[in-house]
Amino acid sequence: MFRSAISKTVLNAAPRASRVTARPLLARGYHEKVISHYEKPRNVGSLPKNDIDVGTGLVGAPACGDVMKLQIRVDENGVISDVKFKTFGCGSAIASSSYMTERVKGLSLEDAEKIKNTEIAKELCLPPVKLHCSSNVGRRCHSLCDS
Amino acid sequence: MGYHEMFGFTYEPNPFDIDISALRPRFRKAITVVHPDRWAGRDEGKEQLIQSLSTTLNNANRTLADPLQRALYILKREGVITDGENIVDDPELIMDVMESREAIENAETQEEVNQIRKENQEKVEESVHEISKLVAVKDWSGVLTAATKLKYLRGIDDAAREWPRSLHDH
Repeated sequence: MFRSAISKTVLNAAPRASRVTARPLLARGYHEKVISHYEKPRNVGSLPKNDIDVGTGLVGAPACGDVMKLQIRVDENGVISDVKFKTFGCGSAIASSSYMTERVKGLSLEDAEKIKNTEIAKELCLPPVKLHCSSNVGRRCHSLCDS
Repeated sequence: MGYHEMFGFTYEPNPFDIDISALRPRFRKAITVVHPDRWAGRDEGKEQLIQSLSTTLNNANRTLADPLQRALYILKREGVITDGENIVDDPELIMDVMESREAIENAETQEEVNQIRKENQEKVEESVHEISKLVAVKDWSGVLTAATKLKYLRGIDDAAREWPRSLHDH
């Protein structure tokens, strides 16, 4: 079974110490892209979980007590036609989830599986301490594609 | 010197079970000895030491006063965790937590939220009891699992308290 390569450094990054509010986001040097995905997250919501073509993945971030839900609708060609997420957590988790949903929409399951956690972090220019948030999102997406 | 020792608590037999009512007066007593105000104006070398000691005492007090922080401190002291652990989540726990968070988000009345908060509080108390029992038998991986669960339950309580404002979540 395919598992994304989660780098040890990502998982060993220091856990988030406190909740993030919009103003401290700027103070902590977050990139504009993160703030954009945080303030205007895309694809927030739910898909009907009992629909046969909908896959639901849940992941927790034990270091910070965050939980995330990612849902994908896959059409008969194995292409992700719709994506929704719900994240209860820090700004980085929200931003990562939002970015991930935009990224995978319209991709085939195989292509979605190839997305690396590091890409999310790089795209959003997340500081190292926040990498674990994006890795959780990536991990969830991959195991969802598997099932 | 460990946090327990700073306030005259014994680490054994159960470092999780401390007499919380004794903590406050002992903290007050200890902090007056190293309070920066008391040492102001004395020689420069001592000021830094005093600052550092009073900061440590404050951290120790905060840590021991809160069950979750206390459990995590014990785990660190036992060498079970350092930082950024690779903790494996229980999928059912995550599902339950998700449902609670969504229920709070979708709640339309304060009563609904209060009910969720009350039920959650029962789980919190259960969790604290569990940690105590696990620490007594030094089941450190059990303590880690239970402390993680407590962390999630805390998140639910925080969200319930903030309602109807959201806790930076979507």
